[in-house]
Amino acid sequence: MENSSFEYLCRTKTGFGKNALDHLPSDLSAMDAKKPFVITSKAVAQSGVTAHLIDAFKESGIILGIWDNALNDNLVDTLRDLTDLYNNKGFDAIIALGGGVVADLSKILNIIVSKGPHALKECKGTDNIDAPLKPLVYIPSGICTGRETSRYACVAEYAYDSQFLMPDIAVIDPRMFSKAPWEDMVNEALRSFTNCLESYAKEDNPLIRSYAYTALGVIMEALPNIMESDLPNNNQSQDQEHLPLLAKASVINGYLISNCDTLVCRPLGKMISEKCSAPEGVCMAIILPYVLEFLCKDRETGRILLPLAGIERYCAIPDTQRFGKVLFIIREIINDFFRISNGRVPRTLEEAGLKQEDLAGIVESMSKRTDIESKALALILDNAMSGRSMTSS
Amino acid sequence: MEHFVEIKPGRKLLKRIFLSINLWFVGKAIQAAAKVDDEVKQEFDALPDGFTFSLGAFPNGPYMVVGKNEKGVVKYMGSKIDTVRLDMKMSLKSIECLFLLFTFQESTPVANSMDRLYVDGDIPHACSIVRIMDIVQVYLLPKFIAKLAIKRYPKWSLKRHTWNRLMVNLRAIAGF
Amino acid sequence: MYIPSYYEFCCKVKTVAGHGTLERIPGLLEAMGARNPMIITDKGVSQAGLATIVINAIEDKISIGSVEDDVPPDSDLKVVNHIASIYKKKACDSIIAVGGGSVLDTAKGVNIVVSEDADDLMQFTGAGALKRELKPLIAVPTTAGTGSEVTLVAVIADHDNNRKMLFTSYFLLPDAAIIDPRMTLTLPVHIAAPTAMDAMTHAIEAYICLSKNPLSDAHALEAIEMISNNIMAVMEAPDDGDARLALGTAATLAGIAFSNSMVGMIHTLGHSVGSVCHVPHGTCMSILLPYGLEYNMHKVGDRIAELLFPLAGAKVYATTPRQERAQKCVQYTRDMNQKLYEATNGIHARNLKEITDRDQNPMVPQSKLPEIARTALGDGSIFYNPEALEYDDCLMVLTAAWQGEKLDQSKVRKG
Repeated sequence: MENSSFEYLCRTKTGFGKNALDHLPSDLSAMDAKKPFVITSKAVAQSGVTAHLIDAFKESGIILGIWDNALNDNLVDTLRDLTDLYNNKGFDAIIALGGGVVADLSKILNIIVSKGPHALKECKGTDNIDAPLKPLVYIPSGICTGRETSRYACVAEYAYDSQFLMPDIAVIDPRMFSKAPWEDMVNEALRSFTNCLESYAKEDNPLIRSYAYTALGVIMEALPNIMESDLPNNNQSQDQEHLPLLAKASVINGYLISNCDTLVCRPLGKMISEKCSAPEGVCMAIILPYVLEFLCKDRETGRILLPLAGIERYCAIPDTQRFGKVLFIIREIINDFFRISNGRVPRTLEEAGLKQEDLAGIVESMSKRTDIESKALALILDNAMSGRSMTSS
Repeated sequence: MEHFVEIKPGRKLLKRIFLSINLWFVGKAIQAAAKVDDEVKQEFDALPDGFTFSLGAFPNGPYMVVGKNEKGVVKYMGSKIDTVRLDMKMSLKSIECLFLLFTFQESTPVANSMDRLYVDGDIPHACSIVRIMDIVQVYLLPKFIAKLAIKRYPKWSLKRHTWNRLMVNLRAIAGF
Repeated sequence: MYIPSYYEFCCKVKTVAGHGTLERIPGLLEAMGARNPMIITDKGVSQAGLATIVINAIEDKISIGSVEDDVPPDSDLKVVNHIASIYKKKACDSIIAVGGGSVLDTAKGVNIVVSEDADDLMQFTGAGALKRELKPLIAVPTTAGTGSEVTLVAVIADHDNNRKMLFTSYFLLPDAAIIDPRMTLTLPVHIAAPTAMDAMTHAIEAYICLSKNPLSDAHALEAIEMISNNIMAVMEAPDDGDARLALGTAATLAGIAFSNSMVGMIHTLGHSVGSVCHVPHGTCMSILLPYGLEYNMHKVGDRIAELLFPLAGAKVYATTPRQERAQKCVQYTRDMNQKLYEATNGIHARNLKEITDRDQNPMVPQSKLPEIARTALGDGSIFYNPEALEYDDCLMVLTAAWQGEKLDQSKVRKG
């Protein structure tokens, strides 16, 4: 293990928990930011959580600008308007409050206001930003995917990949979460779970393992709550407790995907999801056990039980049985979701609605992105279609 | 633009008043304890003459300032930090964090460990001030609350628990 | 998992660890727009040939503006200003700091002067005084212990005015830390042992003290396990590059853990033994480690028990009855010191009275213990310790550690 070399970078300072927002005026001032520009969406603004943000700035003397019209379309025009607003009003930092669209807009706006309008084109692509941008804060308020805190940003044809796009601060304050559809929560949980477990399993990088270990611990704590909440029927979460936990895992997931560019389940799950009815996170989780079995076939892998089981249970299970237990836990989670959602969360790709004839196309596109042989990819997908275990084929 | 507002977040008047009164009283109590309690006296003796410090909330208070003059007498010096030269500044990151501290939802060590408290000044002096404030809290608070605020409730003599406590509280209220 | 109601975590340092990672420095600098770095190091490091290794690894890919190797063991304001003037004269645009704590402190000080164009460093002391990103700084640690490549503080002595300036800011964190085993391969085992135990203590205190959080815990567990698995390998085969790399990486992980969750009484007392008797920091840490665990046992026994897993492995953990795990963990750290004592032919001290200087004179006379205990009360780490510490408590622990006797846990005052 010690033979390899590794890199890791997380530029973001993360604040988790009670009264987290109240640290923000002081933290912004430490970065010399005097007038932050809050970017959010109508949905977030209407949920009322902006009141908590404003409250946190009371007594601080800091004036906030709030813009709440982040939508999925016309993003390039929107960016132009936002740039004018930012410059005319004299803002010097950005607070992204919400989910993916808000974060993408904020990151790209930050490139423009830090580097000038020409940067929109010049900084496209990978590693084309060579210095820190203006202070950027990310505050999740519901479902997030992890991209928000990652080094990636994309609006229409403008895609960026730079360490300087990771926010300076991520703030997870339980007050900022209201409700979210149950199935979105399941999807978010499974997405973070899959990325974290895969990176824990395959990266010989103790920093990646540390972050993944933490996020997996959080997810394992949140999962029973999500399952027991008996929510798939009314489709709305009334309980605010597990949303911040999930956001915490997603934020860490963002740090991880910025540092492991060879993850298999993430791109593969996305391709599958585009061809069927199930969302990305669910597809990723369905293929996870097969991918793990493939990745771990020649390696000592019992260790990946540790973040799922905790020290006590991990030590109690004999070494030779640990990897099997990992697969068991993953399948149990998927089966439980299937059961309590009355089959709406699928267990296999077939149940997800993927058609046999789409497999070849997915294998072909995926084999261009990874060094795993097409034959192996086909085997993974084939087994995941029916839910067969790898060892039996 | 219709989707844009500029907001000047206001004040938190009730919390500000509550905390100002508390800080005033604690400041007065430190002054009193420096006269009544031997341990507090010793801690202050070890600090340089003319030493002043403040405790308050970032960025606009409220604050309290306590100092020791050239003759070594400890005095509560009011609630303004811009009119005095401070040797040490202890700040909570916001008025809410100060509120958590003064409503005993979080103790000083807890606030400190959660990055809510920061100190500008010499660390050994800060250590003395924290010990002084621990003792003052024992004087001011009933045992079951003080236990939340400090790590180890001290075993004091009966006199210290009764007579000294009475004197600290009386002096703090009367201001002598 | 222990989750405090609020916690923060931040390590902006890009960690690059592995064989041959020195060669990546030019690329890292380039990505930050820097082309003319200054190397800051000290005489010891350069005499050991380490600066040359760094220069050889990078000079064909980047021009080196200047190499400054006159950093004293105790960082000094004059030196900072002097090096900063050379930096400006030679039009450098970044710093590579090769060395331990004082080299890093000096490099951070120089970086403030050159980035802020400051005449008076004093105006940047204290929390929140630095408001902007500084120039690129890359840290190449050479000791595998201090973790200062990932800490956000710098201490610089102003000898003329007899004061120490403390700088604290996230902007002081280096942009990258390079862990290359070539930097520690020649470190003699009697120095490697206490520095590894220093890192071990960082990780253990990060795990048991008040400011612990899930992320610092995860880093600490990785660090403890790596040190435990590799420290004896380095003792037996000092040229084992993989084991050296593991210790170097673990020291950085431990640094990340403790800079986010702080340390407790082992450091409180250890700093004080160091400052009163001039004992190397790592030696104090190794000796005091079991005592810090014993003193806090009644408050955080469950956390200490968990540490038996990274220290001794799953098998030992599983076969030790639950209620014995914490004590076994303490015993494990004592046994480790004993093994290091044997591996270094008695140079690695097991108790305070065993510590000697080069001429075999004892460095910590028992008569100094009261002074050490008084000094300890002024160390900021005291507040992060689970149990309170007063003068008598410090003296009791120091006395036991001086004798090398187990701490009588029944005598610890429980708060």
